[in-house]
Amino acid sequence: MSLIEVQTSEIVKRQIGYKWRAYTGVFTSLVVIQLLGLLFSLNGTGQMGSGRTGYDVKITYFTADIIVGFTIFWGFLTAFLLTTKAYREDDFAFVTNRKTSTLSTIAFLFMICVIGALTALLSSFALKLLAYVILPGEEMLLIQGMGDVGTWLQGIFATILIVFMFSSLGYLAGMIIQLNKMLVIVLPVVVVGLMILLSRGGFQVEEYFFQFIFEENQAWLFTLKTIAVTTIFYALAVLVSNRLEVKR
Amino acid sequence: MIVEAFLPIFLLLAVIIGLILLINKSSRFSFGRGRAGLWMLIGYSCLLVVSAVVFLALPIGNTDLQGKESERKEEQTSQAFYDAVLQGKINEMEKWLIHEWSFPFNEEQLILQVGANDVNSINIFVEHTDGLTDTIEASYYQTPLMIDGFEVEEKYTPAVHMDMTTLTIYPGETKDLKYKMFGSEFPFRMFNREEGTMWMDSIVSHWNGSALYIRVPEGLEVFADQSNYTEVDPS
Amino acid sequence: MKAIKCKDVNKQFYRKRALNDLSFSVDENKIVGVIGRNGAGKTTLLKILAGLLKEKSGVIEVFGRRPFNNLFVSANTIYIDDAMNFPTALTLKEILEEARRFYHHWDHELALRLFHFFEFEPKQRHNELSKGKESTFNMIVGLASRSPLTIFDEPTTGMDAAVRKDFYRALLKDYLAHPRTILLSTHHLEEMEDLLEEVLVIHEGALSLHISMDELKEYGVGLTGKKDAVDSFLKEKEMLWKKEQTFDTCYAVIKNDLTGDDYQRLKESGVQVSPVKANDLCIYLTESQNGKGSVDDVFDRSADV
Repeated sequence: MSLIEVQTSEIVKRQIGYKWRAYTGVFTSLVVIQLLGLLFSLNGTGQMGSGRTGYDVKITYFTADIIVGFTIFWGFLTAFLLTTKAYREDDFAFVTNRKTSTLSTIAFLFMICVIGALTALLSSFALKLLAYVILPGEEMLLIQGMGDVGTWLQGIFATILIVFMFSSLGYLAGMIIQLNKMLVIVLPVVVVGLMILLSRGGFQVEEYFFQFIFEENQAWLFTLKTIAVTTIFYALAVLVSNRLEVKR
Repeated sequence: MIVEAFLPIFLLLAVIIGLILLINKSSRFSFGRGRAGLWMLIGYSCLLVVSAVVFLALPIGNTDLQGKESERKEEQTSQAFYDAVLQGKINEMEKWLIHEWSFPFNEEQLILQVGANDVNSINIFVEHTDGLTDTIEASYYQTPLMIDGFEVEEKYTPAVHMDMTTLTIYPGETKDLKYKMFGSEFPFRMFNREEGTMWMDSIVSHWNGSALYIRVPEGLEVFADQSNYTEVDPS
Repeated sequence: MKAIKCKDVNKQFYRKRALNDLSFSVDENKIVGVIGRNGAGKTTLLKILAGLLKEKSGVIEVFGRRPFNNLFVSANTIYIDDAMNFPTALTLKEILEEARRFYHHWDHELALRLFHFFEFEPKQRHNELSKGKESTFNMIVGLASRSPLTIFDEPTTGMDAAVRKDFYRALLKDYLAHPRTILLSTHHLEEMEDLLEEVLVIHEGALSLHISMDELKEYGVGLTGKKDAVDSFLKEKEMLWKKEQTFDTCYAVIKNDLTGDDYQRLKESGVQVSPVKANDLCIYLTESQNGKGSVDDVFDRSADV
């Protein structure tokens, strides 16, 4: 038999296809989680009351914020699950090495994060349509400023980046836990404990993190920040995964 | 913070997902087998696209979210309104007129009785004018109530009754307005914060002015609690 | 070129030593059996060769490259064992399709013919197969991949005798048509005698024998006779294994380098000479050094008490 030289890019491409076909289950959980989010959102995501001379105004807000939040969580969880042994070993059934396996997983995660983000944003229409059709009452409807195409594209882009960033966090956490099963308990305890300790010391990590990311109102800075964070998380995950052997 | 708000939901989710994983035989999250996930996604996406098209075709009022700018405009409007009222410039107030009452009256004194109102009191202004004889005219003016720049169509009017020598003013029926506000998701709001489009930042204008403007003949004595009304002298 | 070269390979799992200064090499296009007791380190060795595990020390080369984390080695190697992990979402047919995309030498025709011969349903799923069926399916993947280095780690687990026979025939036929390097670890050496060209006997992580199959069949000879007679003979020869039997007799296995003179002497002292089957020989060779003989002893001792 003649020996074959293969290109990394070729194998990565094949593995992306392989994962796309093999892990369609992730879409089941995506749909379920978004429908669940839709259900929660039907109650309204917020309310505001206001009184004026002769008027009593009550506004119930409907946004897909919860659905987007759930989708972010789903991205985290899916990435986390893809690091478990069963999934990592699926890669090693066929031609692979660590590099192609990780690259194809990240590419696959990116693809599903785009899909998750898009469906999450689209589901806002389904939510509002449902709120319009089903919910009874003499209520009137208002659409809060829809914005122009630029705002829309920006928002879609931002959602994708956020979901993808959280997937990188899940991937990193999963990889760390794969080092040693005890870390399933140790890692959350350490992270939460550290957060509590630091917040006692007046430094709230999570708040700082959320400020860093979500209170950035400069679009390009936001893009830069999320991409930087995502890259750091994935790079760390690759470093960790290089210490892992494939045992079957 | 966002974390705290979402935490219970995430816990709930974790439990649900855990259950799903447990129920699932192979303990992988493919509880739909094979291509089921893909078909589910395709069906779901189609549903979403259809609902997006239908929703966008619905005739629903649109607020334009000018945020602070529209609030500033409303502030100016109400300033102009009260200026006009206090100076008795009826002509300028004409555009804000909601309702008018006219009562024949030939007594020498008028008792103004203002019904109790728990929250909002009606601003009452009284002007003595020689333009009227044997008549009392009451007009209710109001600048439109704005919600995020959206003008509320429903108009409130106080109840005004004349009984012998007593003019009774009741708050009347409050308008209960219930709105469903369809906002955009937080990633859309993130970059336009300065313009007042933040989460829950929609505003029921603080600045809508309202006034019950009562014109009575010159020389008529008005009896009422001084705190209930303001005397206006246009001259 | 050698297909596989190993020099002083060591591997450790925590405290336990799995491979112990293992050195050997395998020529291209040979079928090699890897024989050893449970826990001897066969699987560890094969996984290191497939690039799934990392060696602790030593030099290891597959087609001239270090296998661990190597895409070239992975593309030219397939490792088949009874714990193959395939995605549960894919049907058997789809798994074959996927394998076809990855392996350049993949013979889909062959895969499908074997698939039908062994009566698989296209819609079946890998995790729903019985043990034997699973092994059979993995074997199909291994054969059809036509990888220059094909590694089967106990491929016959759970297969019934008929399927095992079919497997050996299929393997031999395909090997003859498309020669390639094949490593097989097995507990059924007697069934594979006609198939294997070479044998690697591994004992406690170290290589104890690496010879051709033909040599292995002749490697040992068994002596049965009075204890004194056999013992006196054993002094001159390399003893491989010995078992004392009742009535003061014993059975000993020695390396087969007997001369005509030796035969004469054995005959005179009443010692019977018998050939030793390859399978038995391997069992003798891999007997624990510090252990005490056979499982019989466990029961004998308890009877004494």
